[in-house]
Amino acid sequence: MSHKHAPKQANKIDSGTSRTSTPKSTTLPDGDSQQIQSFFPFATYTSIVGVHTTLLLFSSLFLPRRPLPILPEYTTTYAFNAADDPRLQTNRLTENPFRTAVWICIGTLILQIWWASWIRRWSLDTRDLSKAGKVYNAAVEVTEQKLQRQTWNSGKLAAFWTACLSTLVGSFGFAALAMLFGAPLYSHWPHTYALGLLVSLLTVFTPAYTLGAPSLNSDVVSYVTRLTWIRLFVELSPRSPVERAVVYPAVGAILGCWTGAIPAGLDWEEPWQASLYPHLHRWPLTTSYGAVGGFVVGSLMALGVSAVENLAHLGRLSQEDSSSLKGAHKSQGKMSKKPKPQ
Amino acid sequence: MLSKGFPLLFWVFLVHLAGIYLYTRGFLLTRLALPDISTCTPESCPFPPSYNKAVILIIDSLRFDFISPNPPHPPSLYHHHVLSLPAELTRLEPEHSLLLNSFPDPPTTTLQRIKALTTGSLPTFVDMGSNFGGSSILEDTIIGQLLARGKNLAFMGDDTWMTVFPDSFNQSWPFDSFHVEDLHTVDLGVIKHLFPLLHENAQNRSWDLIVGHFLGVDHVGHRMGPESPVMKTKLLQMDNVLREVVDAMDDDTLLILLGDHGMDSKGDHGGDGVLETSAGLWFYGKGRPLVNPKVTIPDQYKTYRTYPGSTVPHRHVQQIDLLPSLSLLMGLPIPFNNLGSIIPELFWLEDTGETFKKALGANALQIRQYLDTYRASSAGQELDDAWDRLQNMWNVAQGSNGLDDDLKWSGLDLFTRLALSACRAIWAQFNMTLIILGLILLAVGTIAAWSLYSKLGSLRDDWDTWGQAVTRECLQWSGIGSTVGLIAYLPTAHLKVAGILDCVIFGAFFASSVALIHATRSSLVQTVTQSIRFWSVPIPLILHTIAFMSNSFILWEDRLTTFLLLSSIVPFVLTGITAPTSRLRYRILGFSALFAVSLRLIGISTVCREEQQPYCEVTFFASSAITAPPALILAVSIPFAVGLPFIVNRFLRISQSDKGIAAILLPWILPSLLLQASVAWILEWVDVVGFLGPSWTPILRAVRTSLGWLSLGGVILIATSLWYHVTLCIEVKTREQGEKREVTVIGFANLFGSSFLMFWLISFVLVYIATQLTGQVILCLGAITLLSFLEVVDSVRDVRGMNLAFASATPSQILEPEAMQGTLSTLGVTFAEITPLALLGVHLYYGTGHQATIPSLQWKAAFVFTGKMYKPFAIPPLLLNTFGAFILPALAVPLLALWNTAPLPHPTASHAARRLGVKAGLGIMVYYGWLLIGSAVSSAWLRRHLMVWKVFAPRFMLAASSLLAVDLAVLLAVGVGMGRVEKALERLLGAMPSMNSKAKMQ
Repeated sequence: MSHKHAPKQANKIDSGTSRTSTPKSTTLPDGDSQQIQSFFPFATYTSIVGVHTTLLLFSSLFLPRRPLPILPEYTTTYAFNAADDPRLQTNRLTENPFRTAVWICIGTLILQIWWASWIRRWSLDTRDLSKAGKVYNAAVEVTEQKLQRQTWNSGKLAAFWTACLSTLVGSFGFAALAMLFGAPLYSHWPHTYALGLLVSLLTVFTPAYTLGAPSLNSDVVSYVTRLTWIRLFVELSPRSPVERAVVYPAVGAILGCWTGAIPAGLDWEEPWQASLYPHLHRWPLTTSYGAVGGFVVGSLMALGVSAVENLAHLGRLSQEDSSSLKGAHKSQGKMSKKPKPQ
Repeated sequence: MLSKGFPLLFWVFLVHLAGIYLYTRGFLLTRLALPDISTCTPESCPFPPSYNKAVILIIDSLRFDFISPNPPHPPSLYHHHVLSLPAELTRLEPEHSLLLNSFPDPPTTTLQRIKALTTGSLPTFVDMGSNFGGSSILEDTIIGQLLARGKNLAFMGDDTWMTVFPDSFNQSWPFDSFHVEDLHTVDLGVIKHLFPLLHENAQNRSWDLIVGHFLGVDHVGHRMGPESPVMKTKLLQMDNVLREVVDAMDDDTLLILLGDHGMDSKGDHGGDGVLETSAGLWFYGKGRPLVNPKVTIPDQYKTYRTYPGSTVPHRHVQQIDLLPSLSLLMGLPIPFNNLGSIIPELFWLEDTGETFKKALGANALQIRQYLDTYRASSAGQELDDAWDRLQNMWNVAQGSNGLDDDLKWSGLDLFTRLALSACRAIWAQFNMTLIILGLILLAVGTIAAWSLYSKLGSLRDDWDTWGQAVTRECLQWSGIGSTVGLIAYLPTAHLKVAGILDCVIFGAFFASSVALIHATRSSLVQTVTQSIRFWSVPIPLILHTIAFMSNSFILWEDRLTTFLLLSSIVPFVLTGITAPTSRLRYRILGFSALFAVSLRLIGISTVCREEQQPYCEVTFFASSAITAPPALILAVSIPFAVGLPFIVNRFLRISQSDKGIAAILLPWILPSLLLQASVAWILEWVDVVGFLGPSWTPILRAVRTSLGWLSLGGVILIATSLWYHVTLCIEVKTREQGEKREVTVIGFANLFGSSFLMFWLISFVLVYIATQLTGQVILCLGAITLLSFLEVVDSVRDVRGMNLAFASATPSQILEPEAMQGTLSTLGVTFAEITPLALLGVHLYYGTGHQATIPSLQWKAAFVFTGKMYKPFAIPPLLLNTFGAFILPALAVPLLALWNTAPLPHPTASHAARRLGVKAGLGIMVYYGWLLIGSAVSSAWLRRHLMVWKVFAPRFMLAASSLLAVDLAVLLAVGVGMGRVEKALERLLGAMPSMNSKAKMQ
């Protein structure tokens, strides 16, 4: 991220600094009727969410059924042999929880790179177009935008590395958190780490790639980034469809992971629970699937909410258009100042 | 002291008591003991006595594998193949010896087993509590049958027998049974008095039956566990005794050796684990053949069971099967209430099995008579469900007479087994009316407490007058309610579902609860509407309560608690991240991290339930079979004991309140008291491990007793009286500067909290004394957790106060401490702040080596102040040990209102602090109230569940007793702790009226 446009960015997100509920300017271009369809690429977004969630589910439900050559086969090293249980021969998912978790991580990693780069492009478009919405037909601005875009694109690789690094740090953080919440302390470290990595991939990677990593530095850029992270992930107040598409799935993944820990304790003699095999706890199956499931639900909810809001907005606009074409601009001006319901 | 909210809290406590009383009366089972006595008829005494004399030797807790020829693999060095005589003689003289694995019905406690062995019946769960008191038997017993025939009985050993049969024995040498630390007195006593009787010559023999009850193995189990060299010594001693007995006995004597129950892997018993319900049983007779190994007994009469870890299935009988077999062998009728079946090997001596058939006939007839009598009694309808099947089986057996002989006898055998299982089922008979009344009372009472809790948040200075008015109203309504209850009892009296006392209690408390809900309804409605907001829903409480519906969650509640506790801190952390100043941010995040880490450390310590195996590793003790603390704990025990007061001091220094009494208690008195308590337990470990040899035991014991009394005396005489007189953590400096007099007061900002903390620390030491070494370290971690949580709560309130101030019209009020104080008191105590403290209680309970099972009681704690089982000295530390974990957080709960609260402006701040303290106390009572409701509903709902006596009922008992402990602790904290601090403040501030304005406060 270059210093050049940092102040602008600060301007856009400054309402996050005072934690009051009246944003004066937003990144959301909800006042610009002409542009709204391009800001909210409904068709693309829907299809991408559909493909992404489907592939996520595929990678967590089907990929883990095949052996992973780089892993030792845990089942043979323990006293219990899974092959003895006819129920399990068919259920390759639960045969070796670690393998399953690693497969899910691999699948998620690939999918998240694709998803995050799409989100990042969307986010850039939003910024550019919001700019364009305010000052249109000014050739100078358009040129400046193109320049900006170029710098952004050239910063892609740096942003990618930042995202990877944040994900790595996050994975250790989440693994430590899992241990605090009760994951085994002296054993199953690879299992716990796999869960941490998965949750980190689902929650940290995309926002880190889009927004930059939060840091404790005192310069303006870090400050703004930090506050954006806080606004999104602590106060849970996304203000645009793109932010929603980042926040909802992440929160969903965390909640799903948390909820996934609950059935782990039940004792229905199910293979995915902790009780069937000595040493081979089913850890971290329920939490991993909870995280992926939560992500998918969150992603779909973000799509749903944004779509409904968009439709409502369009409906309102068309109403206003039909009532008075001239008055449209004024009312929009008012509307953009109205606090957005969250 | 007793005014201001105390009566309201006391009333909530009474409602809990009443609800628990009604529910337990309906839920805990009773059995009708029939007074009839069996008589001898040709059918009931089919043959003359095979043995005229019998010696019954009971080795308490003799698990089957101790005498088994095929113990688990690999065999233990300490208790397998040590007591080898039974297996040896069974191999050498198979026709004289019979070795069995017997199943004692739970509860596996000595009193119940003695009753079962002599009556042949199934003592119910309710008898459990009378293990301490004992109670004599009014039913037909083999002892009574022998007495009726003029036989002479001799007894020596465990004095529990004396409470059951106070004057049945002609000669008796009872010994104290609960003196667990004494491994030898009882056994040596039995040996001393047994052999003279055995050596008496046949002409002037003074006995026909000897009962000898050894306790050493049980005590070694409780104290050191089965994997101890002492166990080997003990079992060798028993083996030698047996060899001598076998040598001394004549041909006309039957020797029976049995364990009254087994022991679990740690040496405890009381539950229904496989190890606890595997007891050894061995018959030996020298003269005529006892069994005939050459005949083949049909398989349907015999059951086999494989002992865990062993590879060979072994012959398995019910423990009560001993009674009919022994009665018939001695020529007695089978006692009337017996449900056991004869052991076929003892009677199937000829190929045709004639004797066996006669015996089985007598056995079945006796059970038939018993069932008929029971059916005709007032409790007869209990048999409704099983009656048809019993009748059918009996008719089939009778009808097939002459047709198919085999069918008849196996039919009779099945009939006796069916009777046993039917009776097992009916003595799980519940009084649903009382259960439902109890549940209603608990629910209404908890809702009333909850609505009172919300009402206290909305009241202001006038809350005390309001409280008094409501108390009066409650009293009036309880009067009306009890009258209505009495009237309602009269027409329903003939139904015999609820007694007059039950009706009156229910009426009184139901009416007053409803009156209270009515008085506070506006707040209740408000709370319910508020809780639609996501964050104000008490998610941990809801999850914790409904978790009791599943046995898995009860089994794994220790893990669940860690999870919920960590989750409950999340809202605080989120506030911390958004805190407006970096100081508050670091404080909140730092203390939250400390809180989380110490919680997780507490969560490591566990004794593991039996059902958690093999996914649980015992960390409270060095291993699952050694009841000594792990090496790491031994190493850190003393540093923790000495260091804790300094850590507390560090916390107090944040608010500069390490002054006044804190300056005396923390650096000097508390470390020495905690040190004494730790050293006493280290000496206990030295004694158990046996570093110094047995000659040191009395010396160590004396030192331990005196250390116990010294620390107790220190707590009561020095710490408590000091706190009572000095009370406040404050330092007042006066400096004369010519005419001007400058008064500096240090420690004002946290005066309430720090002074109350001293009270809490004194209680902490009391619990600490009664806690084993690992538990002591866990308690220290608990204290750190508590203090860091208080700091988190305080900082989060600062954040909220600042946010409120920013949002208000006059943000500059943030600079005026007194105005801020006002804002904080309006913020009040939230349920989200109470939840972690309540959960901390449960967490500490599991961390200090307890489980929701009866065998996890730490009997060792009873011997802190006394070497003998002297109840007034033994019971209080045992209670402190068991419930200390619940008591400490409950005692600390007013700190949520008091921590970092300055007593200014004078009367207002005091009033607000007291109101919020009472509110916090009510909050924790409500939390535990819901837990009790959850476990009571699940126990009642799943009362026919396979696991009810193993999982649900013990958890209910824990929930009930912990709720009462929490109630009492809150009453103590509000009544004594807060009362005293307020009085001292009143004295200080009342004496210096000018101070309010002039003094420089810090």
